[in-house]
Amino acid sequence: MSGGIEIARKALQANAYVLDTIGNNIANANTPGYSRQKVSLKPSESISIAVNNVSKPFASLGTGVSVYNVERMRNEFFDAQMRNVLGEHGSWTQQSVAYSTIESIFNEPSDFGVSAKLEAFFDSWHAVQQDPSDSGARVSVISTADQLAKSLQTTRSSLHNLQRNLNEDVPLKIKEANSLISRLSDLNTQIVKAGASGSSTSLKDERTRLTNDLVQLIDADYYEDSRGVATIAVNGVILLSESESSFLEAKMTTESGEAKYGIFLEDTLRGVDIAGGEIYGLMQARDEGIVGFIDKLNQIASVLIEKVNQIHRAGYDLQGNPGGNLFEGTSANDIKVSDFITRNGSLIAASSTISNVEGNGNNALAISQLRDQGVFDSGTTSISKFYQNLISNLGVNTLAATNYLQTNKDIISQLNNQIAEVSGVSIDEEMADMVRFQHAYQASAKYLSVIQQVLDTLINMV
Amino acid sequence: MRITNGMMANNVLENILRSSQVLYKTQEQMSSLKKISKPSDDPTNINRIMGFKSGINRMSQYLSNINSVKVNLDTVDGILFSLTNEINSVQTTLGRYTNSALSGDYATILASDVDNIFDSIMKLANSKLNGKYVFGGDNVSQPPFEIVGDKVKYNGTDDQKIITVGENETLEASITGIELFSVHRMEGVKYSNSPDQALYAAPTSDTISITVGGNTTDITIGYDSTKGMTLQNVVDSINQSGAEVNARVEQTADGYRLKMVSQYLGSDGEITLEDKMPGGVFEKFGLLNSGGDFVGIQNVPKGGVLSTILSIKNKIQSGNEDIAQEIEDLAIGRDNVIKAHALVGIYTKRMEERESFLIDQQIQQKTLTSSIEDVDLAELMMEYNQQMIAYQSALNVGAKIMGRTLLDYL
Repeated sequence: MSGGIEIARKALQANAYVLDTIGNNIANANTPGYSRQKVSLKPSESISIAVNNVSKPFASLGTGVSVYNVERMRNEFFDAQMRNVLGEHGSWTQQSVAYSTIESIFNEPSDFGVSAKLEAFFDSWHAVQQDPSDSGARVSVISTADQLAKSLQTTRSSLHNLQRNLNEDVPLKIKEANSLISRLSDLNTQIVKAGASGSSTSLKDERTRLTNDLVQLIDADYYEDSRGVATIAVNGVILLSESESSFLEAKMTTESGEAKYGIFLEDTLRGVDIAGGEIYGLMQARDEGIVGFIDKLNQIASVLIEKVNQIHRAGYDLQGNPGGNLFEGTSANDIKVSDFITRNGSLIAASSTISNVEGNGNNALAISQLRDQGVFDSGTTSISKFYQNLISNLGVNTLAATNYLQTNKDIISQLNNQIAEVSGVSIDEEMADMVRFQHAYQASAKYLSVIQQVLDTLINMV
Repeated sequence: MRITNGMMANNVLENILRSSQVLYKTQEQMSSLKKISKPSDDPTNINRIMGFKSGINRMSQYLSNINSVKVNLDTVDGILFSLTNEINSVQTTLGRYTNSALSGDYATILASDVDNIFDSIMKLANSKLNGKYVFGGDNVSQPPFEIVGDKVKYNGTDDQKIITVGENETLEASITGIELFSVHRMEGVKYSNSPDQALYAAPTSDTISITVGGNTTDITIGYDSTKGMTLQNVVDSINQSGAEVNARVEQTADGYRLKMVSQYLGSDGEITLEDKMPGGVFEKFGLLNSGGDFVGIQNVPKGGVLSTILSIKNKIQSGNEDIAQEIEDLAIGRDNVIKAHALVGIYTKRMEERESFLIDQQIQQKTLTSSIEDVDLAELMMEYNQQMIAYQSALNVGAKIMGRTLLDYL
């Protein structure tokens, strides 16, 4: 009879555990990174009793239910896949933002970009060619030249600022990564300690979540051993292991005259090569994307300065003096209209002859014809075509970055679904279980009261 | 497959976001009326759009070039019309002079008549437009025609104004005194690669002579066997020598060549060249052959209207009745003016043809640009409606699914 009380106690306890777990699951239904928990029940060990059966004198008698395990429902395979995708995703997030910004810096096609200024500059020479003595036409050449120079300069300096901002973001992101590494290191220790007492499920959820945050920043390799100790390494450099953790540091390095942040192991000179994650995306946009565009702008500016000046110097101004340099500078960084010309339109060398400078506009004609001359790619590409190719290239890169980002987002959402399929909390399921275990609990309670009545009957008899 | 409430919620949210992104893009296109507003919208076509836009912009510039010179050509047309009238009246007046034996008084009246007409012809020849002389070529600041003694001097150049009407395409847009009043002009037919390229084969003699209307000038170029001799040397020497020609280096498609323009009109300005020895400078530059005959390019300086009328005027005033040669020259000169007039007509016609070509092209390119860049509003409206339906159903389904759990039925 006392066995009955024990059975009832165990049943009440087991069902209460299950109900607690259901409560916990529902409570955490929307907690990020939470893995659904499931109580596994099993029958308690049965006992043998003697029975009146000659051929089989013993029978086993059940002793109720016992709790076997509280399982953390998780598929490690999906987690590993997720970590791979997150690195890519982080990289393209930064690159796609950078490219969209570059697009808005160039502001094409519009009437305010470099291409419109280029057209206006070459157009302005036509009026001078037709009437070299017209001071209005000369002033217009100076003003369009000035606008062209300024728009090249502004575009270049905006690109340069973007490059600097991207560079400044690197140490900030490294700081974020370091704080994640330090928290992961704490978790590693706690999980090992908690391993024995079995209270590590929520710690593991937290660790999965933080690891995902980390690989989104830096594409890192993750390994978990049978005791639940995690090891994290970036391209062979171990950041986190059971015994120790190492941090990263962004240090200024100078490469081909440009000071920028490189990534090193903290307090060492050991460089860390990364191949994914937001930090990689930042560095990639800084070093590959923007540099190319600045380079091309510089090429346009320097060809413009060289060719226009060359023709301009061959001509004669309104006083019959040989022309000076129309543009000063060597690149998009410092291109500007020469000071002495800015103040005096008559110094524009429109004439190709020293005499009759008021009627000869042949040098102006020569400059206006520069527009269609192949001056790039060994004489096959004109300035405006070269610029158009640059913009087209920018479009291709931006679109590619956006597409990669979208693809990664799709994969992530698919993986999230797959993870949720295993680890997510379904309210319906929990409700159904709740009803099931509520009934079981109620039945166990009823059973206990029956046992009590039975015992009462027995005791009252005595 | 387990479906959790989180999955459902995420799924619904994703669908709503996706539909609203598409809607946003469509709305953006509808409000800007542009399919392509940034390079990444269509990287292949952005190149074409920018190319077309730059083409359209250029054509506007070419059209504005044409418009500005068409006015000039119209004015020149008017001037030449008056000029022909004046020449006609000289001819009529002369007809009277030669047809009858004129008494002294009548001759005086005639002389003053011719004098008046000559003055108005001079005024027409020195016409200005926007403060610039029309017939002086590049020299727009000095009256192109000037009376020096009994000759008419040409101060202008033979440069025709040209305008750009296409990629490396130009059209002539002016008449110079050369075509109008017959100024002798010569060009060599040996070309060098640059004005400063030295002539390595030494001339047998570096002394040349240039005769203009009877005035001969001897010129020594000063050949230096170490430095050689360049086109520019020769041009400078001629221009500094006082010979009555304007020499210059002319750039042509074949290279650089020597060019000389007489400073005087008509036969008064006729140029004769001579190398002091065969194999001299002019031969090296392709103007003379070893026999001293002219082999370059030249126009025959006949019938300079201004110089002829000046000579007629002078002859009548001095009572010289022998003006038969002048009358003949005048007829040729009148033809020259009429030819120049016809040339103005041809130039105008070419401009107009080019203008309508450019306008056509511009419209075509605008249409093409528009077909790539602009939205088809009707099509877009249809798309918008479909997207709106997708968006609304995403919202609708989401609201229904997310609001239900087993709880509602327990």
